[in-house]
Amino acid sequence: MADENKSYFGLLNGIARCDYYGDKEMTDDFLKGELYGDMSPDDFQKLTTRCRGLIKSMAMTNMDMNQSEVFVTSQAKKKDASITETQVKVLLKFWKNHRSKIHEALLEKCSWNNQLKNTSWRIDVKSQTKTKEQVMEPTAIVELVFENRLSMGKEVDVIQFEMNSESLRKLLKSVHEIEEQIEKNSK
Amino acid sequence: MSVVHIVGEGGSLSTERTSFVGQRIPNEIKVLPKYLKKIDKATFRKILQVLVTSFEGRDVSEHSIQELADVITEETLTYTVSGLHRLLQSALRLPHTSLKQQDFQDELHELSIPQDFIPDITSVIFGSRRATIDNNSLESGPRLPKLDEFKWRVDVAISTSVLNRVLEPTLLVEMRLSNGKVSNFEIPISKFHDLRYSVAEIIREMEHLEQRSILQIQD
Amino acid sequence: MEEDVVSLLQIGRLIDVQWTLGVAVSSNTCKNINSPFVAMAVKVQDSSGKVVSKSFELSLMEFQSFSRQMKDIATVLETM
Repeated sequence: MADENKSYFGLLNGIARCDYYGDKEMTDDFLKGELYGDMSPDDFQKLTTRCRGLIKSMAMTNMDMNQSEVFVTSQAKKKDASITETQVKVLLKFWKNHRSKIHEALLEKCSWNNQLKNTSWRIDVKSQTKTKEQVMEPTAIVELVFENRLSMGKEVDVIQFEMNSESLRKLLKSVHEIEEQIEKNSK
Repeated sequence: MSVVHIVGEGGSLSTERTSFVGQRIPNEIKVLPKYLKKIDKATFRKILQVLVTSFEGRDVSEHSIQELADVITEETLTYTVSGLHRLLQSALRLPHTSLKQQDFQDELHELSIPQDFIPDITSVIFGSRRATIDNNSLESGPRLPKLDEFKWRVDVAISTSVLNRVLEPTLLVEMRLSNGKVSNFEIPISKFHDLRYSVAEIIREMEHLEQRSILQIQD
Repeated sequence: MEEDVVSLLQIGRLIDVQWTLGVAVSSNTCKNINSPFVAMAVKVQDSSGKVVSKSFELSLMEFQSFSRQMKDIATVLETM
C-alpha cells in the first residue's frame, strides 16, 4: 500500500510540474512509465483526469487547508468517488506542499501587462551655462527595463529618462501616496 | 436550375431550362468549340489536368505549361484554357444535387463541345476528384481568423493618482486568434453588460436557426 | 547602464506619472486571486518632443523595491 501511495504522490507532483510550473518533460507518458508501468493506459488516463480535476478545483478557489480537507473527504465519500480514502491523506499532503506555489503560478498567468524587470540609475552633474554663470545641477538618469509577461521573455522594452530634484520630488510624492493607500487598505 | 417539360400538340418533347453556364453563354465558352477542334485528345487531357490541379489548390508546374506551349499555338492555348476554366467553374459552383449528369452532358453537347471530350469533362465534375476540389473551394473562400483562446481577469481599483477612493471593478480581456494575433484590452462594466446581452441574443438567434430547416435546404 | 546613450541631451524627461492601486480579484484560471498590485503609467518626452508612454504592473513587493530605489536616488541627490 505504501508503494501505491508513493506513486500517487509522485503523480500529483508530476502533474503540478507539468500543468502549473511549465515543466514540459513531465508528460503523461513519462509519468506512467515511471510510476504506473503496470496499469492499463485507459485506467491511467482515468486516474490522471481525476487527479487534474481535484487539483484544479482546489487551485481555482485557492482552498486553504481546512477547505481542502472538507472538499477532498467529501469527494472520497461520493458514490463514484474520484479518490480513495487512503489517497485522501496523500492529496492533502501534496496540497499543503504545493498550494502557494501553484497559486503563484496562476497569478503569473493572470498578469498580462509589462513587468518591471530592472531599474538602474546614476547621478550626473549637468553644467548649464545660464547667463555667463555655470550652474551645476545634479540630475538622476534612470533606466527601466520592462518585460512583457505574455511574450515569455522575448519582448523587452527599455525607457530612459532624467529627473532633476523637482521631478524626483513629484515622483516621490506619488510613491508616498501609493504607500499610504496600501497601508490604509492593509487592515 | 429548373426543368420544365412542355408537351406540344404533335406529341414532341421540348425542354426549357437555364443552362448551368447562366442565362447568356459567356463569350469564352462560345468560342471554345472552335479551338477545341484544333487540338487532339491527348493535348486536351493535359489541359484538363492542369485546370484540375489548379482547382484542387495545388501548384501547376512550369513544365506542364511549357509542354502545351510546344504543341499548340499561344492563341489556341489561351482560348482553350480560359473557355474550359469558365465552363468547369460554372459547373463546380452548383451543388451536387442540382446538376444531373445526363443533363450536364446534354448541355455540353448543345454548347457544341466535341463529343469525344465530353466524358473527360463529365468525370471532372462527377468523378472522384470532385471532393478534393470542393474542399479547396471551401478553404479558399474568404475566411476570418478564429478565436483560439479567451482569457479574462477582474480587478478592483482601490485608489489612483487622480482619485483617492475608487472601488470600481475593471474587466481585462485577452484574446488569441488563430492567425497568431493577440489582443489585450479593457472592457468597461457598462460595455460588458452590452456584450452579455448581445451574446445572449446571438445564442437565441442560433437556436432559432437550428430549429428551422434553413440549414437543411435541399434542392 | 547602457553606454549607448550618446549624450545627456538625448535622454528623455519624465513628464508624467499615473498610478492605480488595485486588487486582481478573479480570472478564468482562478476564482479568487486577491492579489494587490500597483499599475503605473509613465510618460517620457525625448529631446525631439516625442512622448513615449509605458505602462506596467508591479506586485506589492516589486513596488516596495521600486520605491526604495527612488528614495535612494533622492537621498543621493540631496547630499550633492
